[in-house]
Amino acid sequence: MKLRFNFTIMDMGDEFAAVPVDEDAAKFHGMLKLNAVSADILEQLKEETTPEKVHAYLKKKYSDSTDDEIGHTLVNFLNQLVHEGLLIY
Amino acid sequence: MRISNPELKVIRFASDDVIASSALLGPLSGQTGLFYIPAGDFGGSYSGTGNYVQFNGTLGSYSGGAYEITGIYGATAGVDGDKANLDSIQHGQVYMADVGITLPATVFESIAQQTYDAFSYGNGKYYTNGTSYYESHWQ
Repeated sequence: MKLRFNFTIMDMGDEFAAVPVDEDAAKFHGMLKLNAVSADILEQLKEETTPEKVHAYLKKKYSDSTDDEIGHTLVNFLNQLVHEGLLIY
Repeated sequence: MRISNPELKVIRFASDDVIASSALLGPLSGQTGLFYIPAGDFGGSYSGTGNYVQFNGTLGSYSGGAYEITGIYGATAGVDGDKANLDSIQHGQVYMADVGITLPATVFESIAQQTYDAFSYGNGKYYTNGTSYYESHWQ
């Protein structure tokens, strides 16, 4: 799985923004507003990966969270990306 | 550290025509904030050596497909922000953090010139016809 479009993610201070770049700027007319966690996950999805790999990355970074917490959070977010047409499986 | 809820807000624009309409852009006049213009080829990362210009300013009136930008200050650019990359801005987008929207840079092409001029002269003022455009580079 990976993001459908090539995004550049910018740290705007209080929030993060992702804008499509290169030829994808003409395919996706809009932008994404994110927080630190969603920006972090999107970074992992720029290249082809698997839910298991992203889960392992998050588990390492958010080590105080349980596997179930991370899994539940990740699945919900991936579903949201699919719903928005932003993720390709 | 515990994971928190990942937030996602998708902002879509219907078409370039809608984006360029004065009905949408007009209410933004008078907004003051940070303007960010990525210039085409980023090489994969915003931080570091990306080609961009960023500056503070105030949106003035909308006329002829472009805004007037006043009160420009604090302009910065990527290390490769020279004329060739300013030319490529037309393929990028303009993100206005203050109002949280992104617009195609084609609408704002004149901003690149104004920002470049302001930055080249280094006095915080903007010039609509900077003669140093083809001579100066970002500093």
